[in-house]
Amino acid sequence: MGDYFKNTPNEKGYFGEYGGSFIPPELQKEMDRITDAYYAISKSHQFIEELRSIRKHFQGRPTPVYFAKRLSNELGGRIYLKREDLNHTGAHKLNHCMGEALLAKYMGKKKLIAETGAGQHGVALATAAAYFGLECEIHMGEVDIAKEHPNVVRMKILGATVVSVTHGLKTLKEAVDSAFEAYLKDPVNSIYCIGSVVGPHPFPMMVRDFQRVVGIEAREQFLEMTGELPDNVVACVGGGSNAMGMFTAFLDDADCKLYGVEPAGRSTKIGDHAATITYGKPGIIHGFKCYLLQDEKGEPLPVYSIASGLDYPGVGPEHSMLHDLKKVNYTSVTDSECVDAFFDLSRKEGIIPALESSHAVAYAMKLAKDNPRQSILVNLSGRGDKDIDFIVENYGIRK
Amino acid sequence: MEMNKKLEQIKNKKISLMGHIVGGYPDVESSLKAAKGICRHADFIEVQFPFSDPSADGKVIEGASYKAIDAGFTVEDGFKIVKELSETTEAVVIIMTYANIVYKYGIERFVKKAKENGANAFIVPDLPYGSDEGLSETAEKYGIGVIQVISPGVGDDRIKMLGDKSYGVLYVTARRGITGGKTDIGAETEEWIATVKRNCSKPIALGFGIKSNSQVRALSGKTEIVVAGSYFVEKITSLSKGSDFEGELAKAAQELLS
Ligand SMILES: Cc1ncc(COP(=O)(O)O)c(C=O)c1O
Repeated sequence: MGDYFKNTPNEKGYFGEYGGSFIPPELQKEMDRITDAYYAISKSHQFIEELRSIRKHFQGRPTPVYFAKRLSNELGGRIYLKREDLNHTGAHKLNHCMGEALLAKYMGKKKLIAETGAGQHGVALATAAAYFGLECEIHMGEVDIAKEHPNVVRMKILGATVVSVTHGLKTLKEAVDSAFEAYLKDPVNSIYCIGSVVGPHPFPMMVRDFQRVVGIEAREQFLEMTGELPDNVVACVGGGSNAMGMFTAFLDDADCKLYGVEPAGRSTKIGDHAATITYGKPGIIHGFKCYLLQDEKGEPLPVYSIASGLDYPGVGPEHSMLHDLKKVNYTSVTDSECVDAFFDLSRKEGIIPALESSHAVAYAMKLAKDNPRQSILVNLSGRGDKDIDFIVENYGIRK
Repeated sequence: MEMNKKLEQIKNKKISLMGHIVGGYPDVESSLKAAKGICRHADFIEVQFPFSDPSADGKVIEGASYKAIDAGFTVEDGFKIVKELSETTEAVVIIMTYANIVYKYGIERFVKKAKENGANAFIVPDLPYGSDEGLSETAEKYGIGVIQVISPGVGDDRIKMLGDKSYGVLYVTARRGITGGKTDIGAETEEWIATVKRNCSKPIALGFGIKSNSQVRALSGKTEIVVAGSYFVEKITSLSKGSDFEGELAKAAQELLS
């Protein structure tokens, strides 16, 4: 295992044939600086101590692992939830945001720039910026701004500037373009804090490393609670940060089956889903190589998911590699299965999950039904408060 | 025209022009005519194969790219434009595009097709040397090459390395950021050009924000080539369907050099 993290990615940022750094030279110079700073700092005692203290006192870590008893009793199987919804700001995103912002502080940067889909990454980064006294500029598609209104307000209350992105489909991909453009204007004083395990090297590695805390905690907690390892580990995959954080702790455990759940949306038609690994082919987007939903010309295809945080046409390079190596099973869940799981978890356990996380819950519920003797550890990546208006408007309150 | 022959030809010229159009904007035929018009005065022509996520480009070229893609532009259309330009003009024909267009088509297949159709060089901002999926090597094998792009902020060592690897000329952006907005040619630009010149003996093509003849005059004698893209694309946008794209763009090119 020690070797896995030493060699993955390699020194040029490749996870197998994926990842890398497809960016202009002046930006490469800044990425090299970030890489060097990250390598230096991540070995520094002071940095590690500061991050550890932040996690404990500010974020409220470790988050618990919880046995979902009523849900399990009904379905068969034993479903356990890693409660990232209880992480400060309500999702796993803060794990890498605090890391990225701490790195920015050590590098003397003044401003944090990022894109956001559901607004969770934006809120987390705005929170980190407030904590460290840095400026924060969040780019968000107009469509998502309308859909995720509460998060937009939270970002503003936290002191961030929210830039509305109005081109293309006005969602996550365009928000990345726009944030990148803003960063290119002043890469010396600002830093792009990417929201998932995507983008050019070193981001997929760095974000993964900052998220590993989730898996490390969960594995230990699960062992302590049950005396064994889980039979199945499930996480939703947008860019793939919460899933990487979870999976990395179990890569050596041959008996643990790992499941990455992609959004199958409303149909298998182009533009109706964002199941990248399920339907994509290798391509280059946003400075890295990965599975990509694209047409025969190489244009990224329009994507959609009920969960704003999952509708991205690419996916983390490490997931792309793990798929080829068959270390993780990538599967998908539809909008309607996601909404069912959203209500089921709310009603049976008193936990309202984020629509992103509801994808993982939905798949875990299927697994539980099919494998009544097995245990399933789900990364409940975030809470669903942000989604309630959208759900009630479009699906009503279920009886 | 072949790169080295062209460089020999422009040796004593005060300043040369590299024009840039977006293939298929507003339609394949008109973009070809526009390029032909520009080539009456330009020694180099960049034909952009549009990509929906043009990370080095600003609103003007991005907007034109979206329209061309929506109108159904294909890579084969691009090669058609390239072929016609290489057969009917004296310009060095350069294909400008983004990584995934080339990658998806297949690097070797793309290079081979480009060469067959008379292209002489490539500019692919997100496939820089050292991380280019073998594009430079493949192009060299076919007797053509990749023009490297550098921007302010790139250090001396990398300017030397990229200047050395760049095919024929080095593409230098006048400022950081993306194409579009006008650049003031002031002391800062001149200093940047001087830095590049100290580290690279190849002719340099200066681009980003070149929109007026006064800028071109200010650069005359300081850089061998100026690049204008958004300027021409804006001109194309201003023309209505059925206009004389060739004549109007020739005029626009001439004005820039006047
Ligand atoms: C709660 C939650 N889970 C998951 C995701 C998806 O991101 P990733 O795949 O990087 O974990 C998001 C993204 O916004 C999110 O908010």
